[in-house]
Amino acid sequence: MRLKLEEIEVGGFKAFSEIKKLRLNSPVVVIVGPIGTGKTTILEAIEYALYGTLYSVKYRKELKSEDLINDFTDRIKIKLALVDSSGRRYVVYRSRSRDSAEALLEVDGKIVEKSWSKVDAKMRNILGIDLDGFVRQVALRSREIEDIIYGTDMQRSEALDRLLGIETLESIFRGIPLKLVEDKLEMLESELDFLKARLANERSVEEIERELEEKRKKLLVLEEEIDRKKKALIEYEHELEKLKGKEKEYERLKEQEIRLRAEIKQIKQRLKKLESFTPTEPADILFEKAKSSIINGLKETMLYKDAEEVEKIEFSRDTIDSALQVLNAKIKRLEASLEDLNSELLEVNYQLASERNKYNLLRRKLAEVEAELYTLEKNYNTLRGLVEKYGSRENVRKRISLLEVEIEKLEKISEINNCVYNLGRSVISTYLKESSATCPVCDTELNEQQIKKIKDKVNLIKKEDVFLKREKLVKNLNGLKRVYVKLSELEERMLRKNELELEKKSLENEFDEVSNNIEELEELVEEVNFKISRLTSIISSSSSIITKLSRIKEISELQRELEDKKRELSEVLKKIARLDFDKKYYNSIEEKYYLTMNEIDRLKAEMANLEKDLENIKEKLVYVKKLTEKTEKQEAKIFKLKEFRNKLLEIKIAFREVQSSIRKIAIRKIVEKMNDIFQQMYVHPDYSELTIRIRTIKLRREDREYERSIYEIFAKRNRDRRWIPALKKMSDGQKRIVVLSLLTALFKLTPHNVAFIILDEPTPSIDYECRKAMIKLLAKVEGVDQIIIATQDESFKEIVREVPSALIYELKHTPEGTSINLYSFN
Amino acid sequence: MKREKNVFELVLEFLDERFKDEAEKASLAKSMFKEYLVSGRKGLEKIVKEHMSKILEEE
Repeated sequence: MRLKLEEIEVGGFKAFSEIKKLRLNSPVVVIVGPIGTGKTTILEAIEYALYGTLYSVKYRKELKSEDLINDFTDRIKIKLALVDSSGRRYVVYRSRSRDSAEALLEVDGKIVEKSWSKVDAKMRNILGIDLDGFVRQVALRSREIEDIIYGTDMQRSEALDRLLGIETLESIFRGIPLKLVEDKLEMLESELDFLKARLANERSVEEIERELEEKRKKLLVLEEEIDRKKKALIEYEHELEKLKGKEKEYERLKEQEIRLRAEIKQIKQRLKKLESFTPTEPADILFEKAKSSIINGLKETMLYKDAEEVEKIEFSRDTIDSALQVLNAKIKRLEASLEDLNSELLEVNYQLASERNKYNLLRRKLAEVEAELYTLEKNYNTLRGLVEKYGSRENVRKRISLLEVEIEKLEKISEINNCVYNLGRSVISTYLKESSATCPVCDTELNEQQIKKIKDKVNLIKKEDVFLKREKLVKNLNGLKRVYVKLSELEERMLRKNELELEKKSLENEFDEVSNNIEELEELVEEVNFKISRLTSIISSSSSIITKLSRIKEISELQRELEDKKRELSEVLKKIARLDFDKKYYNSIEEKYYLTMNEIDRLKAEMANLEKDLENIKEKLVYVKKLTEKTEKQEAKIFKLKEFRNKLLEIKIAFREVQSSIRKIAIRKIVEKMNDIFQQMYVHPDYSELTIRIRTIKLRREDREYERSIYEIFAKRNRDRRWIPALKKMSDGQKRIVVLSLLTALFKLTPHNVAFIILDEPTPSIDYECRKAMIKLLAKVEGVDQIIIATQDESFKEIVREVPSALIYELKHTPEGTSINLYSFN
Repeated sequence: MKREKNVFELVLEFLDERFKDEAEKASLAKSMFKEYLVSGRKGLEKIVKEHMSKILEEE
């Protein structure tokens, strides 16, 4: 089943917006046209139809699927028809927009696949070669050819590896991530070091287990010891239980004994103390003395009823208590009376002090009154003298009135005299000045006589002493006025004198009264003081006697009590003797009991500590075991990981070996075929044979050393029969023929169902003859039934002229895009 | 005409031959080869990581 291309329709794909249809059913199809007219687009459309993508999209990642859609349309439409050697027709439809993709495969007009991916898979199956192989061995691009011709040794070798399909093995060799494993190994080893360091700080498991065993043995010994002690404790407990009842009674009696002894001791001490104060007189006499003293006291304080009550009391040993009670009650009464007397004395003293104050006040006042009266007596004598000299006050007043009238008269005369004097002196002056003068009263001219009369009159007035008279009278008047005022004043004082005399009398009466009061009060104070003194004495003597009586009574009571206690003690001692209880023995058992108990506690504490130690040791053991286990696991992991790493290394090397083996086989076959093709294609006599040699070089990548096989193509030079490096010594054209021979050989050797070969610009730099030979040869090569050539080289039209059924398409640039025309030799 | 074996088939055959007594290694090598063809270097890393995880998780 060898497949050939029959027809292609392409639109909306790369250079073509409109649908272009090309018939391809010819052994040789040449697509000629200048650059950019879409020659390669046609070849790529074949690739796209067959595989649903392009090598440049899928592997090289130079383009995206969207980039394949022509800018003036939104959908790729490709239809490719193929026919196999048995005449079966295959039609592939591909339609793709930016959002959707549809594909269809028809075989002999019957749809066999509908989905894109299924069509891809089906076509891969039908062709017997995948996209990678198709691009390497069927659709030969100038790029691949140039990589081989012009690339470095390494590029050439890599390109050839790609062509041989073994570059994958090289990539796997390089791509096995050993570093990943080694990094992990490093990390695990560092963790292991850490674990080992921790383990180094610990004792070994055996040591810990030994210690554990020792501690366990100790624990057993302790447990046995505790059991022994417990048994002894039970025995002591039973013994104590037996003695417990007696011990309780013994303790109670002992307690009583101690208490009684203490009480007896206290009573004796008290008695000893009281006996030193025991009175010499008998009790009944003392009682009578107290009774009589109290009765006297009661009577003196006029408490007769109480006195009678006391008189009735009879003394006997039995009634001493009640008698002493009554006597004490009466002493209390006397004390109350004494209290009253003290209060009364206080009151009287207060009154006395008040009267004494009053007395002092009156005396001071009386002295003042007497002093004032003495002064007023002197005033009275003065008054009497004045009255004798001037008369009574009334007479003085009358004389003053008379003097005042006389003074008034003299004042009027003096006034007239002044006027006359002044007038006369004025007339005299005028007359002396002017020798004439007029009367100031009647305005008549005055004569000399009249003037003389006037002068005499003036002189008379001058001589008359009215003024002096008046002055004398005024002096007398003032003297009388002073006397009058003095008299008035003295008379008034005499009134005050009378008042004071009355007051003096009243004060003297009051003074006498206060003096009497003071005398009375002083007597009263004396009397109360006496009573108080007396009562105090009675109370004191009675109390003293009663105290003595009380002591006598207390001694008697204490003696009785002492006898009772001694009796009680004797009873208790008898009971103790009857009890037959050995306290020392009991104490020794009890001591042993508590000692054993303490010992058990101590042993238990020791056991608890030991158990704690055991727990700690166990924990430590678990910890060390875990650590050991972890370390062992870690070591195991590291071991396995190392094994894995070695395995990977081995696999890595294996890929290299496989690559080398495949390479050798492939090269052997290729060299044979390549020589067949070269000898037919290369028409000149200078080179006759080709071979490929492989040498190994060493490379260093990622700190590792690698070996790499380098291909070298040699050509045998006929002139000297020597092998020369073809790609270094031969011309560009010769190199292309060599490489084309190699690629054609590869095509032939690769197992697939493709009977066509596609050459994209295969022959630049190759001369016409060689081009012609190459095409002829390719057409003859077994398995190559169809050659599709895309080229700018117009000479191909002539080269294929000899092939009658050859199809030549001429592609030209037009304003609407590319035009495609089938070239005709006519 | 006898069909020529392709490179894929040849590689598997060679690996089987290389590790003929070591089935585990052969299997690992073949799975690496296949995984590389599908997922490239990432595929190799995935396989190695899986193996490492298996080793590290083992108790």
